[in-house]
Amino acid sequence: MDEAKPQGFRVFQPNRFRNSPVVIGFFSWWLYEKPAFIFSLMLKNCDKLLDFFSIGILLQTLFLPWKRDEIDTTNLALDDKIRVFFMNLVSRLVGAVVRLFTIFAGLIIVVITFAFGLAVPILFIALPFLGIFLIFNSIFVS
Amino acid sequence: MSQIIFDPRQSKNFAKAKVYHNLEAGIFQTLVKLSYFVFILGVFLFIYSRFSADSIYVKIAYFLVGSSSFYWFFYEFLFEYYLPSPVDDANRADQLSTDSIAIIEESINVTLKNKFASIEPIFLLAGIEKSKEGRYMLLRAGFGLDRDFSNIISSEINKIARIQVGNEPVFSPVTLVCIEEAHSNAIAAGRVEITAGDLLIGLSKSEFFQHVLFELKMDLKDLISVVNWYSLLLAKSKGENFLLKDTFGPGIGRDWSFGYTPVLNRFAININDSIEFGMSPTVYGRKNEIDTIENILAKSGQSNVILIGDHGIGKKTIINGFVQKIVKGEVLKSMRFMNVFKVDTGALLSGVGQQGEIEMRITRLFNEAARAGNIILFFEDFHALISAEPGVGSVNASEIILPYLSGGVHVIATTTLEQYHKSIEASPGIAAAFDRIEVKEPDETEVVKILEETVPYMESRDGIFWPYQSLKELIRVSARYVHNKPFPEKAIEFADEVSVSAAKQGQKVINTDLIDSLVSSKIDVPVKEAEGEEAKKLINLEGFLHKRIIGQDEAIKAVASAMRRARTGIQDRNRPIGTFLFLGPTGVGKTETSKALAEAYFGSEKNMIRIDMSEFQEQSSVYRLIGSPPAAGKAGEKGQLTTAVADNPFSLVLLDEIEKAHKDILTLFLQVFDDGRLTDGTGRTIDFTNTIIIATSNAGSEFIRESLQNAVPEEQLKKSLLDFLQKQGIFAPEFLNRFDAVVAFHPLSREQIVQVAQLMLSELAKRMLEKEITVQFTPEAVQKLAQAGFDPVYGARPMRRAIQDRAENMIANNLLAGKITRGQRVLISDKDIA
Repeated sequence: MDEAKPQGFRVFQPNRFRNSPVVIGFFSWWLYEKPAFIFSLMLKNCDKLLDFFSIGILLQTLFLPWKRDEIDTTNLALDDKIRVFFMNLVSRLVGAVVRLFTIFAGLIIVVITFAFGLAVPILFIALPFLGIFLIFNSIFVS
Repeated sequence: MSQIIFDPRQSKNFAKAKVYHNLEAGIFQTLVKLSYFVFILGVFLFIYSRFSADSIYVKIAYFLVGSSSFYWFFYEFLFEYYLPSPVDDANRADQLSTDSIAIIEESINVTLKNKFASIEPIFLLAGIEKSKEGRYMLLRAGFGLDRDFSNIISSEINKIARIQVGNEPVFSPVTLVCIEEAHSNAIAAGRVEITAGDLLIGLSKSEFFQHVLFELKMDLKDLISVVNWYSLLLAKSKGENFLLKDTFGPGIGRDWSFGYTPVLNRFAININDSIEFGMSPTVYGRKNEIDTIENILAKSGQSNVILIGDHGIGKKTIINGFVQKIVKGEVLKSMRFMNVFKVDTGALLSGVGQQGEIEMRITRLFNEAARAGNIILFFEDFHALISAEPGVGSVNASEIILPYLSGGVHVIATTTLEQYHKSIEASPGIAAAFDRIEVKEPDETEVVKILEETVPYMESRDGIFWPYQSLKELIRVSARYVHNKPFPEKAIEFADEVSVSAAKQGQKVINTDLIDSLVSSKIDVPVKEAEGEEAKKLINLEGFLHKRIIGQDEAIKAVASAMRRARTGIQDRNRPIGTFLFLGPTGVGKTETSKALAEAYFGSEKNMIRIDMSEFQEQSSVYRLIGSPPAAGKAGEKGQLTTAVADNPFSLVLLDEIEKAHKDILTLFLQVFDDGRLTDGTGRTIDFTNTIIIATSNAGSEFIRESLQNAVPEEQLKKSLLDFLQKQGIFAPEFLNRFDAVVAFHPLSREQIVQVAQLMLSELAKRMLEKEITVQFTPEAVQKLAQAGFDPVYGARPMRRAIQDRAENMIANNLLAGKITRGQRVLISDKDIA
């Protein structure tokens, strides 16, 4: 099929202040709607990161053997049972270590994303000031 | 409430759309991408400046970071805040999308260019045609495929009377109605913007566009489908924005919380992987079945599901759809980490060295699936694993599998209805362990949607284009003429075949003629709508039949009328093409009429299934007619009628001596006459909608003869004959009423007997002419043969024998004796005939 035409702008502003005077509408968009949208997007992506790292299921299966690789001890002699018991224990330890590591890594990334999610909306509010400030500095401040 | 108007001049959106188009939004978007690099460059320069004594680097860094930040804000402000403006509910022009605004602008321009005072629907169409999406949808609707758009539009414009020439054209009342309809359509579809597609649908309110649609063999429903098809393809081409997606797939947990699967990796394919790597096509529809599978498998304890349906009905597609849901993370929480493995039953059951190895493999497979904890096993043709009949490629593993089905492992199985009854129900434990889902054939609307998904792949592969009408035609002919496979498989396969064939012929656009000719060549029956030569043949059908049949005008008229109804599409499609009861004495042309009809309609008299109903006098003989279900490990019996019709669905079914069949068997035909289908002994539905059914009977022959002797008028004869048959208990009234026509064949008169003899002798003469011998018969010879070939009881039936014995034998003897030679002209008189 033909390639889609570049998208036009959204005709309708999903703005609850849409019938308000232009100035109020602009400030509500700049200081509330857009930052709130960015924040909700970040929250949504934190949730997806939690899904990606599968924190819930990793916690539920924290002490299960790695790849569920466990040897059945039924009908084994006592010394074999002891040996297999330790092997199974190692398998569980490996599983726990890998999962714990993943959980921590996941949580750190989620926290960073969340922090980013807080910072970006603030940055957006500051964006025009930041731009003006930096350009002003580049030109006038020696 | 203020009155709704449509005034682009008052619309803020219109003004802004001009700004938008003038700004060249593409440049702004490119600049945003560039600003990312500028920002990063600024950051690097800033870091570098920390190590440099030169302050210019800091200044440049500040400038780059500052300007890119400012640009981002400006960009967001422009496209997110300024251009999207508050809506004036009272002005429809404010509710147009940017593309629709461009269409309206173009329609105003075309109106001005053509010096019209009012913007008529044709100008709106011209505007739609100028837009990329509008042109695409129009092409899909078949508009402008055979002629150039501009030609069509200019010829239409010339048809409109110019009212006056003006500089400020206004929207005509009809155009305003069209725009209002476009708005209603947008609202109905849950949109706030009026898109190009909505405007196209809105145009259907104008008489001019209704005419266009009629010419294109489209209706409003089809047009809406075309617009939705475009939206679907557009959404697909855009893809999904990862940041805006609501769900994520199973994640790391699927692999790090569950078990190894070495045995499964050997004997099965991980469908999750093939879906993730894009090796399976996207599944459309089948939502109910997919949701049912999910709900069943999410149950705790015993949760297995078996999908029952014919091959090609879409069972695997449903499972792919279910796995697609898992991969996208759209399933219930308990299902999120599931891996679906399709077990390769062939590999599992083959290459075994010692006895018991298959059983061991199956045990290991199920053990591993149970231990892994997140496995759903999918068995295609599950019956092969638990077959009660020992044979190649089958085994009875029900005892091994049964314990796992009660909670250890989730299983999805597929089988056919026939095999379900035969193999799975034979093992009640297994049957009870599964929840059944009967997979039904999708209806034609769903098949259209499936094809809309499938056809673009063929288009890009073969460099062809499928207009919507061709899709519809494809489905129509597949539904009507292809009966050995169910939907959607038959439609997809046929679409594939048509695409390849068109590509081979260098045809870019698939038209309905190509589809019709392909299906005609496949089934040997003309499928194209009656037109041209075929229409002439249909109109003169009586003449064609009379070439073989002497007399019997009423019978021939009745069958010819039924044929015409069938070919012009007037007749109910869910019934056989025609059902007739031919009554009359032996040897008056009942069978010959049937043969002639088979030749006329199906191309050859070989397309006739002849069943001697006198063989079905016992009630139990019904199984010989429709087949019997398998019992106690014994394969079922094939039905004479059902097998023949299933193999040759385009046939004339001749039920000879119907009155001799058992009454219960006659009752079977009530369903066939009413619904055009019959369920055979194995539960398979046999389609009779492409058959002509003729039942013949000698019952009432004497009554007909006596009535004719008493000069009873034709109409009265027919009525009293029906009364007679019912009173005598020969046929039940509900049976007689089901026929399209009950036709009384009259005994042949002396003149007609002579004509029959002449007809047969002319056939003999034709055969002799092939040997370059011209044979002629004197009128006396014909009379003599007619007399010899007539029997008061058997009518003209002995005629063929008489001609064989007296004329053909004589000619053969003379040929052998050398008395008749090639190129000779022979006149046979009554004296030559013994």
